[in-house]
Amino acid sequence: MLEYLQDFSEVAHALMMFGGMCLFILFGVPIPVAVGLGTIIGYMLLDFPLLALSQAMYTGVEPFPLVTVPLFVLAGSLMEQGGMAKRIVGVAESLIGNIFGSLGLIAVLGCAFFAALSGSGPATTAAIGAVMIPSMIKQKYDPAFGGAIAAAGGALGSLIPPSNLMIIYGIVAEQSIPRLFLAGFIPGFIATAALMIVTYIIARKRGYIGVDRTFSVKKVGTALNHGKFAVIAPIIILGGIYAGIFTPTEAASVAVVYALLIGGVVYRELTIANIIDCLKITAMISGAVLIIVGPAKAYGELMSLLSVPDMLGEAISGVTESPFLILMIMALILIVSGMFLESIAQIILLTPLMLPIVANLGVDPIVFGILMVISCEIGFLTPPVGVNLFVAARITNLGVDRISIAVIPFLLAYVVVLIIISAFPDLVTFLPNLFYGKYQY
Amino acid sequence: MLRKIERHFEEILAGTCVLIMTFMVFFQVVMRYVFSMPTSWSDEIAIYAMLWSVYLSVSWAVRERAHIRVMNFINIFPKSVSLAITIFSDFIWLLFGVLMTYQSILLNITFWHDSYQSPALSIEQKWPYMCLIVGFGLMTFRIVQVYYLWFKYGIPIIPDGEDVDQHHA
Repeated sequence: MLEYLQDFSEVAHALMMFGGMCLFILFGVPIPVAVGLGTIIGYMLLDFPLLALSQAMYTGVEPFPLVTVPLFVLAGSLMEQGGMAKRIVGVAESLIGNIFGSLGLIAVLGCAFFAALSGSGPATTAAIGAVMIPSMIKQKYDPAFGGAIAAAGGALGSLIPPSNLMIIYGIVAEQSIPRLFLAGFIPGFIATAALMIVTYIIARKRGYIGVDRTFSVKKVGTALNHGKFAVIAPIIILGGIYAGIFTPTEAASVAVVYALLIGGVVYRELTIANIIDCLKITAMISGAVLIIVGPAKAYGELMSLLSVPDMLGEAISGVTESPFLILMIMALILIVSGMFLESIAQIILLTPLMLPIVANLGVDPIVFGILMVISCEIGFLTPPVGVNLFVAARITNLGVDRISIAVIPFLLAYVVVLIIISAFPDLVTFLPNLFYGKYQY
Repeated sequence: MLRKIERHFEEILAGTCVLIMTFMVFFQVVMRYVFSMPTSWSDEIAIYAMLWSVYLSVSWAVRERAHIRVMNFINIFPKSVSLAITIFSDFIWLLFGVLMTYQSILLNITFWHDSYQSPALSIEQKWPYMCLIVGFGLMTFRIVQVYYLWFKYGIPIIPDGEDVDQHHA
């Protein structure tokens, strides 16, 4: 039986691997295990020793830059529990508190600021959502709308550097992580603006008034002074990376120590119990998320061995030759698969398949990375596996279904951003090229 | 006491590994910029600590039922059918655990035969690679445990699924 299957063509082998994996995922086998099983199918068809999977489980988690991911997760949860989120909201409030629908706008801006400290979308939703959702509800906001703002704004955490998704992409696609971080700035700015516009329109329509404060430089100064340690954190983290002082990994460890110092010594809001909690959360995220890296690496290598990227590339280039349209097709695939796959899993599994195709068309890998990150952000906001929705649902005590409906306008905003950067990729490459010189193919 | 160890074994070790990892990376920064004495071994330890924390948490996540799985398809069926499918997929998972434990042991044996040392610290690779055996072995044990607790005490195999989804990067 097995020998008979082994005689099949590469396409058939690839389809069996893929189909098997999908079936296991559908039946509720944990996703990393399903990917591992898909790889085992491939190994058996190609008559490879299964020892290689065990080896890949280790070597997949071995690259040093991967350490950055748990470090930023730890830093993010320490900053959240240590009272930085509150002060960041204070700064945002002093800047735009006088505008229509300002609480929603403050939430978005707060998320954007927090995103510059944190590398994770769900963590940003949790941090800013915990502060802003209750005060929005107090101001008679529809709780679902408040939750949707926090979920959508939180997704900025992955686009505005530092970003865990960019680190993973950088490792898989062998791209410079600082370059990717820099590339995230302008799209992050555009996305923030788009989310704020949507919030403003909805708030205006529903008559959510502002916090009713007049703008004054003095208030901004007070808020900045109050939140100064939170405000300079991104300067230390990102500034350190771009001044060439730290690698991103080292910067993440500095962020952890900084969060500990500020939360524990200056604000005195971190207790030992909090810190232990943060360590455990970080370990748990490592276990549940990074476990996918090993099997996904083996899976991706097998897919390349079966020349799946070439086949897919040929199939797609038969449809269209325009890089813009192909990017749009890729984005669509990513958004649909993002409904079911966790974002890190998605990047590790799909980058080896998709990147060669677009790179052949002359798309800068950095641009594709940003496209992938934004598509994953949309995945954060789409059920059934939309993590930010779950976080927001937990804070608002609403069902995920209500938030996923309220989030649709924001989702569209992200789609618009996706279209803008695919049509004008220079928006992505401008800063990295300015800073590091043009990318050499 | 034994029960406490059983309950918190992986989380305590995994949390400690995260702490060690953070400390090692920061130590490297301090050594380089404050004392101008860069070290290379701290990176190596940080990686080992990450590997161990990842594979210990894999087992811990079974206990907490925090593994990322798509339950939506299963849940469209009547309760008894969805339960049957869950048991089936857990059984597949168990087989995977057994297979991976076995393969990891085989892999480790090769390192006992041929010495393979790390570049900076000359650590025999059989030691860090043990995280695979421990991780997958404990994972398999925890799956069996979940079912044991179900049969014996009726503790549901799938707890309320929603708060589990917070564990993402």
